[in-house]
Amino acid sequence: MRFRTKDLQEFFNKKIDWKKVAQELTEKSFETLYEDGYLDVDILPNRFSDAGNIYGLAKEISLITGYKIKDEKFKIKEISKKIENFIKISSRTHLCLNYFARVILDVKNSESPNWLKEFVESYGLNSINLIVDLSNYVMIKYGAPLHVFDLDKVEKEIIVRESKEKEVFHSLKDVYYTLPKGCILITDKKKILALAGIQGAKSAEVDLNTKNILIEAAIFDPSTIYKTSRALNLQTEASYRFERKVSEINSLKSLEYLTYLIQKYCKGKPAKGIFQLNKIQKPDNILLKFEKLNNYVGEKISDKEITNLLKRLGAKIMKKSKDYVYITPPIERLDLKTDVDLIEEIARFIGYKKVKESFPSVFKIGKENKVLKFEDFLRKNLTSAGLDEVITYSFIDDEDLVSFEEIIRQRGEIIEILNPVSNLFKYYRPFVFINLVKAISKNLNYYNWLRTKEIEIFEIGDVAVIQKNKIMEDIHLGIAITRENLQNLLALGKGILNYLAEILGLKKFHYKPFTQNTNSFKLLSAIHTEEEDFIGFWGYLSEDIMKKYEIKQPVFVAEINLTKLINYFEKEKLFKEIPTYPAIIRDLSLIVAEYIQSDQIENEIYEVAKDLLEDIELFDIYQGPPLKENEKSLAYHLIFRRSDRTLKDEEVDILMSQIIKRLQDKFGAIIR
Amino acid sequence: MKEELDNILNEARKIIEEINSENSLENFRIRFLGRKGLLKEILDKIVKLEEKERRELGEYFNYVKNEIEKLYEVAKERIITSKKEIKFDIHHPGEKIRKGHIHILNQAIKEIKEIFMKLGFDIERGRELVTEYENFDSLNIPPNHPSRDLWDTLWLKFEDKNNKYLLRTHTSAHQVEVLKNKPLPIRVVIPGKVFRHEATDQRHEIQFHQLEGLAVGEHADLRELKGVLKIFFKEFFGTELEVIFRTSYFPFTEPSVEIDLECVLCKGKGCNVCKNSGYLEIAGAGMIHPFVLKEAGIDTNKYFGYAFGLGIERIIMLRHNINDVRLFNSGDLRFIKQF
Ligand SMILES: [Zn+2]
Repeated sequence: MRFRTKDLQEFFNKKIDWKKVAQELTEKSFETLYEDGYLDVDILPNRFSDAGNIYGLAKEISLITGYKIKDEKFKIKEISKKIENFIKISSRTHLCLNYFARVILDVKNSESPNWLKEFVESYGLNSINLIVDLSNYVMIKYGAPLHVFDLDKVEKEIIVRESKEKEVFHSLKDVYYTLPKGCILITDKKKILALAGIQGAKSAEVDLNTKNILIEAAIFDPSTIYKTSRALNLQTEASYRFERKVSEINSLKSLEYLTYLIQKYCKGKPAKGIFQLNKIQKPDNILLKFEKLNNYVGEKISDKEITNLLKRLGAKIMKKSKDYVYITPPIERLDLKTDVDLIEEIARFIGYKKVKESFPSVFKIGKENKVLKFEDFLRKNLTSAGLDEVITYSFIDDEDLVSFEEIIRQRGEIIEILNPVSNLFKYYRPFVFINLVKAISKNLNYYNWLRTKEIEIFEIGDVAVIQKNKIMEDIHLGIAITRENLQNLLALGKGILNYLAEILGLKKFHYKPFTQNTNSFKLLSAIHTEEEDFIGFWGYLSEDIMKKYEIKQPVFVAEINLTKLINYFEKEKLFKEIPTYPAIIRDLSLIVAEYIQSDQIENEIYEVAKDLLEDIELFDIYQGPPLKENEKSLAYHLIFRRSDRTLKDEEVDILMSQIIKRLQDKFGAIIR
Repeated sequence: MKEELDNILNEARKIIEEINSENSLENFRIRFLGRKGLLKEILDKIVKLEEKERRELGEYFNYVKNEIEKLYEVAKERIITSKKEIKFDIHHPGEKIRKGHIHILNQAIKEIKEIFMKLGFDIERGRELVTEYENFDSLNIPPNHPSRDLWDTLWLKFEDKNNKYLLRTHTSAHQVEVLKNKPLPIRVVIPGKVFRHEATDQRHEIQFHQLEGLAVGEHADLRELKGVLKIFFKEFFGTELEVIFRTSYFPFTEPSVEIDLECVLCKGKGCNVCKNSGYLEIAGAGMIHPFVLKEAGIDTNKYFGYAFGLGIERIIMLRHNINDVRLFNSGDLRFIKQF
């Protein structure tokens, strides 16, 4: 809130150094900027009820500087006719926490004098007329939003009640609102007079012809005001204050002050008495144990200093011992409810500068969450392999959703943001790779700077979909690579996947054609572990997708579920004896039908050779002439070894012929 | 004589392998191929033979001569190239070694984690999609309360009968869960991505990262809070910087403080980054509100603790002189490859 220093100065006899005050306020109360006769004060939300007005801020300044504050004195001259003769007020809702009112007769409304116009305008309000401006003046000075009704437009009685479904409110700004159920309304028997705590209705508006008025100073349930003003998208100076609570004492004081001002400037005659719905609530007492204060702050503060500070704050000391103090907090400080609130008051007054530093008193080395460790392990290894790590947005848009619809749907239902910042951020990402594709496209356009068309990136991050009406959040690793040459690209992609398996201590991943058809990928393969765990997929983008994302060279993509893969991480690696005896290496080249997978062949070979086969390495796959259309040739290195002695060539010859026989029988393989 | 030729060839094959210099190569040439060399000697004899014998041996002679010449050429090539290698140009650009880059954000998070582990803090990980209860209600931020306006929230359309869901607006969303599940005393930090419904510019992003710190039990007081943050900033920025507390308000801490750090760039003298104040607003902190402790089932008569939260991109930007927060999420390798 922006205050004119001259308005604050009125509460002090002493001439104030505002620059210094701004500094002290910043440290102890609220962040404050001083410039050209204004204090711009960022009043904390819990303090708006007491300090969000000129008087309240002056009190805070008095508290931290010790400068004495002057209270304004004023007198009201009532006529003998009582308020009850003019109006009957009742409430039918518990959401109206209290209601004060006065009636003033024979007022002369007019345009506001210049000083008042200037005042309301410098606090960001428009000047309307004298009565309305005075009411705003009081709100800014003492904090309580007041509402003035033209009494002659009210049908004898005021009833506070809750709105029924679809009631229509016609505001004094001439806007019609259809209300939800449960808004607080000020009504008479026939009509709505105000949307309580937010805005008055056209029907009882004060204008230049107004003769008799009713001033309302009420307290409404803050959360109902919040809800209503959000539901109608109608935020006003009044609603802002009611949401942050208004203290009854300020409300009553504001009512009296406005009555006085109207008597003074509009020649009004106040009727006798104030209407008051409920008794004013007294604040609850608070017990503050000194030990707790010292525990929190860590510095010893003397009992005497504590009680003095509390007294200065306006608290009443009810009881005191060497261990505690029992107090009644100042009535306008609605934020002081428990002992920790008092601890904050004391800590800020003695100054946080006095709090010294200490080292943590728990002596141990911290432990890191396993997933985070795993993520760092992957980062380190993938960058060692030459990949760059990127971070992209956790959102995708409609275009992306359509592009990768099948593969997304296979995983679950997309998560839509209720209130997206823009259409680009409409859904929470179901996969990491989608935004990596965009990053590839973007970086290929940076050729001028990067001078390469060879890009390999990865990202580790959270993804989610809805499965069986539940949010399923997982951590994924996405990889995207691009090269000009497709063969090189796929070989590199596979190489990286092998590398990934290797660093995890796995022999290799297994690949199976993807079950679902998709137009987004030219080739799509599921990734499984040896234990047949489905952990992800790899593929390369179809031409349609490349066109859509404006990419002119092939892109390899892989996505791996780390929530699953982590099960293979950190299995302690045990030393394997380095083999003493040499191995015998044989090559095997064969032709089989296209549909036969290398995995199957390898399994058969292992079955025949058993422990003698140390390793098998597929080093060439070929399809094309002179082979037939549906044939392919595969070439393997087979590594044989015994741990207890040197293998003989003749032994391996026998094994090789058994293997060949098995492959001929099982797959009709032709040995080359 | 054929035998003689074979011997010459065998000898040449043997000698050539040991030849390592131009000198010895020249000797080789003279000995075998020279005008008075071994081959010339034989040739002189062959010329004197009968026509038939001469033709037969002549062919064989040519074969041997050819072989030896080949040996000579190969050796010459070998010796010359080996000489060339010695003449390696010191201005040769060198082979390009491909190096991948860990994103600066994750490099920094790793450092941050290590600093806090040394200080005795465990490192935990949360989730990005949380319930309204976790993000707000459990932290003393009830529905229809203006303190909710402190966070511009992205909500999910999806709801179930117990919960509304949202993208966590702060890592504090994990406070109650962590306090509930970990044995006391607790020292924990939680790094993570958070989200805000916000218009983006150089200083604002809809997603960024926070570090949440929590400590309960064993003198987890304001002094320790100050000490921990001071050590952390010293380690992270590599220089001693003053840490000051300012009164603030967060619904889940009481007292609440704003943490100001002596400006990293001007060391408190005042510059345009700190708007001439000499200090930077760098974190929010305070003593954990009893409401939160109770929510986690912790006895507030016995235990107390502090919490803090800081923006990770912000401290990285200060340390590395980065002027636009959006670069972090850009996927732009021109940025990433710099670190
Ligand atoms: Zn500075």
